[in-house]
Amino acid sequence: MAKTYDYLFKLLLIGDSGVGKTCLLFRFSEDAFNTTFISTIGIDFKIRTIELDGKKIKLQIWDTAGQERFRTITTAYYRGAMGIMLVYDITNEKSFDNIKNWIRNIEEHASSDVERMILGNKCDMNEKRQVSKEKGEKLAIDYGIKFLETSAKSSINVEEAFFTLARDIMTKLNRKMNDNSSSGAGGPVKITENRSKKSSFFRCTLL
Amino acid sequence: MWWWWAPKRIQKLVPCDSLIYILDFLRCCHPRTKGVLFQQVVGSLPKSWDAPASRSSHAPTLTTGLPESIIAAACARSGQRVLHVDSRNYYGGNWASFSFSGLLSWIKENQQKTDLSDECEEWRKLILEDEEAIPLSSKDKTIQHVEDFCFGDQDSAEGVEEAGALPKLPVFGAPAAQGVSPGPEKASPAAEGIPLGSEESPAAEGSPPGLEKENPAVESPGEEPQSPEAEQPPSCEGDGAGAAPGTAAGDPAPQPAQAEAAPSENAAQEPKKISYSQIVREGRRFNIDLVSKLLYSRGLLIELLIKSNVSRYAEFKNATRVLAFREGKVEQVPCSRADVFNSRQLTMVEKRMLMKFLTFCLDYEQHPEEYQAYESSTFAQFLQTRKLTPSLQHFILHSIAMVSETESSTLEGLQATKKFLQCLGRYGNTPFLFPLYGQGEIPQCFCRLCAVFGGIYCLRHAVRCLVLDRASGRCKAIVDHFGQRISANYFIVEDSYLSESTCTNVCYRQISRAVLITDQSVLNTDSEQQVSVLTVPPLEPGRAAVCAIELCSSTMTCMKDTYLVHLTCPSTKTAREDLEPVVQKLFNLNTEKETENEELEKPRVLWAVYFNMRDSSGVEKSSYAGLPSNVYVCSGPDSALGNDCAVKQAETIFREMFPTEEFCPPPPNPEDIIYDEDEIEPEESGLNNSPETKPETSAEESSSEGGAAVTREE
Repeated sequence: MAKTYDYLFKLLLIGDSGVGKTCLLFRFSEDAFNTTFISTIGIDFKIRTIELDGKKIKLQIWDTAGQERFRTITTAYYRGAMGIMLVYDITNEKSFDNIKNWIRNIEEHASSDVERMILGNKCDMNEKRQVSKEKGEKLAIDYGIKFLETSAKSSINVEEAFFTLARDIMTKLNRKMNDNSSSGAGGPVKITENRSKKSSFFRCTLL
Repeated sequence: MWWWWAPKRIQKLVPCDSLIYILDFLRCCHPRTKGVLFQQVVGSLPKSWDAPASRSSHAPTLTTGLPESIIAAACARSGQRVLHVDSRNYYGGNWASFSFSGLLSWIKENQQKTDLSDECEEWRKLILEDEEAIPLSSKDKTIQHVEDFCFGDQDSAEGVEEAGALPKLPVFGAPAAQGVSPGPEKASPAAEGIPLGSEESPAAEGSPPGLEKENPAVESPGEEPQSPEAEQPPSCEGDGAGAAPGTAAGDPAPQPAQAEAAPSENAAQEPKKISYSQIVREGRRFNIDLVSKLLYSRGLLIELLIKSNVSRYAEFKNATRVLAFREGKVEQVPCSRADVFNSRQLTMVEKRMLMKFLTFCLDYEQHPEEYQAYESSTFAQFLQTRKLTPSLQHFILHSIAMVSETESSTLEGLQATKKFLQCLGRYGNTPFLFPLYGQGEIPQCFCRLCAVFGGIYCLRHAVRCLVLDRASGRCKAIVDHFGQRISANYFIVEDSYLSESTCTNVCYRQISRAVLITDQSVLNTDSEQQVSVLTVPPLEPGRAAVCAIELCSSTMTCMKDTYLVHLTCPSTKTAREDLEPVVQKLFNLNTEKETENEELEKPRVLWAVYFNMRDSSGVEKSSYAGLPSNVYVCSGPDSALGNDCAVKQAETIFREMFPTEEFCPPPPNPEDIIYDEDEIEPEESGLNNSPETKPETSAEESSSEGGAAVTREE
């Protein structure tokens, strides 16, 4: 099979209900926007392959599946994530305040070296703004995280946001590979179907 | 933990915030609701969820254990509206796994058994005249005899905080997070997900398909979480000293004696001394399971994970070896063909005998003449007739078939041996897989599938009673701790939720469990990253064999330089009485330096907990008194090594509820989902025409990836 990408990055979207996580995801993955979809039903993740420095990078972006609503995101959601988009709604102060809580959640459950980024979404709705851009920037600086104001609806900064996050992961990765002294203890197993070999496979090993 | 403003993972009291939060949420989403019906909960849901509701019935599920989670996922997948609530603040019920601090809280909670006798009977007012209430238990009585032991200086750990798990000022939040793994600059930016392999399956997520292909980056895949550990070697000492100055003093304190005694023995391979305060500080590296199980690589759970595509949410590690405990020594059991050939402990003759016998077991049904005469005798007796040496008999009986010496029949033994052999080689050289981050991940993965298909999750949500409609004899609603009535057609309840009056006729068994944190493996070899299964035969007649699973740090269940050992057996007495004799055989429990040489070779136990867990498996529904037909009961974990029991139960219950629906069919490829047909723009639906064709290609892709994934294991 032809090699269709060089890297696969697992990214997560996190933030309060209704801040536009799924819209951002759709804007980025399909360049579509639809005010009427509110739910996150059936959306596990979306994929878009981008190119950075001549490398094809497959971004696999996971949505919360609505489990953020009652703060019941599973720990399993965070496993293996390499980048996390923290999203708030600039027209909703509470969603901004909760970013701190989400960051704590990440610290508790995600890998400690995960790349993070804060997005203030819905920046097209300036007339309803409750959170100033400065406030967002300040928070990001406090945590040492990058920050952008985005609009999934008007397609502002969405590409930039995901490319920036991907680039940061890439940079970290390259650095790691350079001074890598990894101990090969056998990688994890991904369970997938092995239809073709199913019936007689064990014999190959056993006998 | 789940309620993020609760500082500790387990909090006894529901913070007021949460209560207000949920109610507020419902109110603002649905201002016109005044009743307390399921509709209210539904009111908070997005439109698109309501739409398909016409074809659906509701299925509230109580507690988030494995069978319940599978049922919830299956129901949501087939279009049912699912509300999944758990009174606990974590997923998994008795199937959960905890960080170290989380486990300590769990222990405390179960030792105190605080009587939550706020039995305010307010909810009774909500029961109408033609209804009857079946009260549910508000206390979890499934855990007993919890005893924990620290074999280090516990005081030194006072004031030591679990890194990253405690509330911090936001300003310090970020630096602290990095403090956990010092030096993000030089370190391991999650190398995990760099699949340089060419396979393109959506299932490939974090773990690159071609892990073991030539690339250097490729070895690190699953090690992302390990990467903190990988980072540690350089920074480990500094970490200890630097992170908390107090512990710099605290560290050596606990075991200065050993520090002196041990290195003199064999300084080279002597494991690093881990103190209790280090365990506490690195507490979030632990994912300690309440139940200890492995996945048979051809077991029902693996097949279900594959079929439902839930496998994409989890990663696994092979158990690397099967061990036996014989004549006071731990030995490796050769079980695959390669193992047998490479074995140094077996003679040439033994190798041949073993291969011959195992070959026979693979298709024993074809050769009834070989065993027919022994059908009424035990498997152990049958083995004696097979020209096998005592050590081979021991290996087969205890470590391969894992059946009882005195009770299991020849046929049972042959079946078990065959099952073991058939599972070999699918993913590795042993029949078992273990989920990274612990068994507790698995229920969560099914919960995510349920959520993806619209299931609603509420933790910390207690349910007071079931409401029975007198006329129809069916259950029609539940009443929760807010006094809300939630109507539904089906109810799935875990056994522990049922009150004593419902369970008077039920006779429960118990499981004895021990969890140890140790400083080295029970069998040291060149690689320290081993996942081992060890069966310890009964030390005295009348007892059960003890199953021990030893996990290394790369399973993401314990910190570097430690091992997590799970011991399990059916109870005859309390967990400690059942298991401590085995612990004493295998481990060194002394903290003093005057240990004999022999003791020094054994792994040292740093910390241990014993507890008994109720085994409610195998209880007939008819044994529960007065349960309506549309209330289904799931059992808690059973004592078997595999997960077949839970999967079977989930499928049985699902089929009873929805005989015509398929059980957990593969979900459509996320890349192809049309999720709002009415509103999708024309050109997009054009784009989305492909689901018919695409999933198939992706199935092929993933199957070929599976092939790759498997071949690389060989």
